[in-house]
Amino acid sequence: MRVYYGIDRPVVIQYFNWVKGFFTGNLGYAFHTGTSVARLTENSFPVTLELAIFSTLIGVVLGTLIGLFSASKPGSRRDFIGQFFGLTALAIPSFVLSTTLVAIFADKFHYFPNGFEYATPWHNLSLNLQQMLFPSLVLGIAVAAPVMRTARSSLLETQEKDFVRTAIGKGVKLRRVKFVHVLRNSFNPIVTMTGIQFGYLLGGSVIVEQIFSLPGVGRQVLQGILKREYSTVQSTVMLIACCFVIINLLTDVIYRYVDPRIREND
Amino acid sequence: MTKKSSRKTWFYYYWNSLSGRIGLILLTLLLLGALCSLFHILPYGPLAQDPTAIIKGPSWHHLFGTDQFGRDIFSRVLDGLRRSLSVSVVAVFLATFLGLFIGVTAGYFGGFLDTLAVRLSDIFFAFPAILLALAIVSALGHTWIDTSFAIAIVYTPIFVRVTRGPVLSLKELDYIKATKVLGYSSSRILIKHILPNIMPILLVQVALSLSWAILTESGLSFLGLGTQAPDASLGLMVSDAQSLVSFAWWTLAAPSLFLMLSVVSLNLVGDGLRDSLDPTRKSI
Amino acid sequence: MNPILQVKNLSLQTREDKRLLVDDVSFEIEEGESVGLVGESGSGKTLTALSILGLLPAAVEVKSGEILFKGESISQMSSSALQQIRGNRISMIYQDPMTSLNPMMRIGKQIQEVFDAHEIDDSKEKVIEALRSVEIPNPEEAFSSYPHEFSGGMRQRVMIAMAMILKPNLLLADEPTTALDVTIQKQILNLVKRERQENAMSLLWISHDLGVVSEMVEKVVVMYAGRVAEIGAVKEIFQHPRHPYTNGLIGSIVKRSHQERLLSIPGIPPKPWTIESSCAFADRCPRVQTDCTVQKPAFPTENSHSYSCFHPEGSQS
Repeated sequence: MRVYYGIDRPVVIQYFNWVKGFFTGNLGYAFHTGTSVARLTENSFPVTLELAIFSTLIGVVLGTLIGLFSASKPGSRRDFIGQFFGLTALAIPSFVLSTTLVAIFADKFHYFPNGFEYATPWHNLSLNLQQMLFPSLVLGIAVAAPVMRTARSSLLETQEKDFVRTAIGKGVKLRRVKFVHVLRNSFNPIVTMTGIQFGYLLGGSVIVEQIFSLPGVGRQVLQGILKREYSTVQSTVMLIACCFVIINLLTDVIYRYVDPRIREND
Repeated sequence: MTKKSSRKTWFYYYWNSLSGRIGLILLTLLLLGALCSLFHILPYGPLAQDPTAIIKGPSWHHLFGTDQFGRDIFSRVLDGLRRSLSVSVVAVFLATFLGLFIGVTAGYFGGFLDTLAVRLSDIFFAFPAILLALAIVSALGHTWIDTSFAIAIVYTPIFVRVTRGPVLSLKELDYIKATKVLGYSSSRILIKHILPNIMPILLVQVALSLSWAILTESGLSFLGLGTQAPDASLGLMVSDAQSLVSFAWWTLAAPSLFLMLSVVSLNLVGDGLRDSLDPTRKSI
Repeated sequence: MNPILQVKNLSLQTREDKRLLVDDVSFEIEEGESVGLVGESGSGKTLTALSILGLLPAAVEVKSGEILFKGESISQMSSSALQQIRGNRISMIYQDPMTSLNPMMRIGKQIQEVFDAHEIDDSKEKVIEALRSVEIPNPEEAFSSYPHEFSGGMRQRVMIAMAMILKPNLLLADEPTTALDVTIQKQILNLVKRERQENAMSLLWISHDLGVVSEMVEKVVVMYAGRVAEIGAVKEIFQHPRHPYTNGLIGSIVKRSHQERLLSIPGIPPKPWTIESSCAFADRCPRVQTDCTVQKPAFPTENSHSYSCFHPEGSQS
């Protein structure tokens, strides 16, 4: 224990110095590639961005649909199935799902677009999309889980609100009530969760990027660590942090657009 | 006071929740498995190689088959489970203590300390957990203490947030203000009055954080930055399985299964705890 | 004698623990008649009204009984059949105008929805006309506005416009003025009265306020602890209340002419599921006797003035 405490202090100080480093901007130079980190990131960021966009789209649509399915009859068998999905999707680590997909498609069906060098959408759209397919699916499922939980609880809460009763009471068909009245008013928490998930994907996709050889920002950090290029790691990580902050701001803007009440107060 | 009876009702509600029940049973089974590894009551040593039994499928001798070195997968999985669990438990324990300390003092005393704590934890919130853990581990090293520490730092901010919130509102309660007026020392108020009220929310967060910690630790091991070969670790086993899976599916299935079960059981326990806090919740 | 609505022995219970909330309630509304459903909070009046259109909250279900509209049973009707009636033949307006309108949909659209739901041409002009008839200033602007831009009184007018637009045969009004200022209350009451006259509509007015009710209705149904205590013409109820609870209610209304003391009934109403075999009012009744605590008094059927009491006012005790 004493030894542990001995290591403890210097590490903590080390760490705080590192944190200080975050704020001194200036992206360094990555020696092993012979290019600046800035150039590296220029190329890697769009890859991660594309992956994040596809994954979030898949995740939000899937999660909201399952959430709707679950919330339509709370406590019933379909609710159980929906929640079961949410639970398992949360529990499957991305690397397990990825490895399984690779095993099935690459080994059994000999289909592995990610075996080829990464293609940007401009050079070869078809290959690019195929390369994005599996990774987006994997991450999409990971995103769908929390989105589904949020959607379900938000929908259940909205369903009990007075104006839903008014809508039913004036004869609006139930399908319309579900989608136009309940769903539309349940968006706020879903939008927040989407923003959080999207931001998370901008760096948290490192494992998937590694497995599917996508040269994204996460992979850049990982390579930096493995090759002991700490300036790369430092600067890239800070960049990701900035993005996350921007995403949060953007989410606020979306709220303003979506909820007329907040729009009013501008 | 009425601590005994309230503990009874709390557990009653917990047991009432299906999720909680299944989660607890599952978790107990897993813990038993991990304990077996701890006390070396395994069918085979996790490092023991058997050249006569290479890449054998599941059988009565080897419940989950063997790997390319003839090592029994079942024993390795239990050992890996123990490792993942211990790293995660230590990490979350640290994170809870640190987070609790920072969150409660910041929330209670307010002022500059509070703003500082909030700003710092917001910064950490900006990073995806795995990335932050990666970055920290790269600076620290590959021993299990380093991994624990890295994960602890990653998950401390959420404990800060989770504990600070209730403290802020509890602080304003009349009976807390009354104890202040009566001259109770701050630490006494904190320990006797505020802490018990935070306990339930804290426990839920502990369960959830444990599940995330296990995922993070196995992710790190998968990338080669956590537990090192030849030690067994669930993440590492999955990584090894990548080259074996096309002809030895069990090398992937076993560690994956146990990983998922750990995460699922902890999430269910967290759900059960949440249900016991608020029995009106509409979960199953 | 053409009853447009018949509630027959309606009993409601909680879905989960099957606790009785409303016990064997029966009353009728004649064509063109206005009936007041009176009782304090918890008496079951709102739940009774909600069950007419099948709008009960998820936690409550119908235990037994029947509801007939124009002779047809609507309590057994499927959702899709009931949908045709809602907003069209029977409409409802609710207590809290602040939460009863969709905050994210423009007012005009919400009213147009009623047309769309019943496959009637939904012209903007019709909606603007409706808004004008409920005295909303600048109806063209109001059409494109959101609910939060309006005050409670205005929102209630929108609700009324929405409810009346297809000229329903029956309007259910659940305390629409309780959440409003006294000055606005009067306006809303007059508005409803006028709409009713113009369209020869039947009305069920739910309230805890006997004074307001007396202005609006011809017949009163008094509910207490989930049961019907008394039914009678407004004048009869006020001048010759038979049930001791009704008597107490009347006595608690401020009389402007006299300096009479406000009477209050000591105690609180019991929960409907706890009074299986006694009169609901027994523990607070000034006229209580032993038989009141061991038996349920018979409930009123549709006579001109009926009550459920063993020892009503005006009888020997």
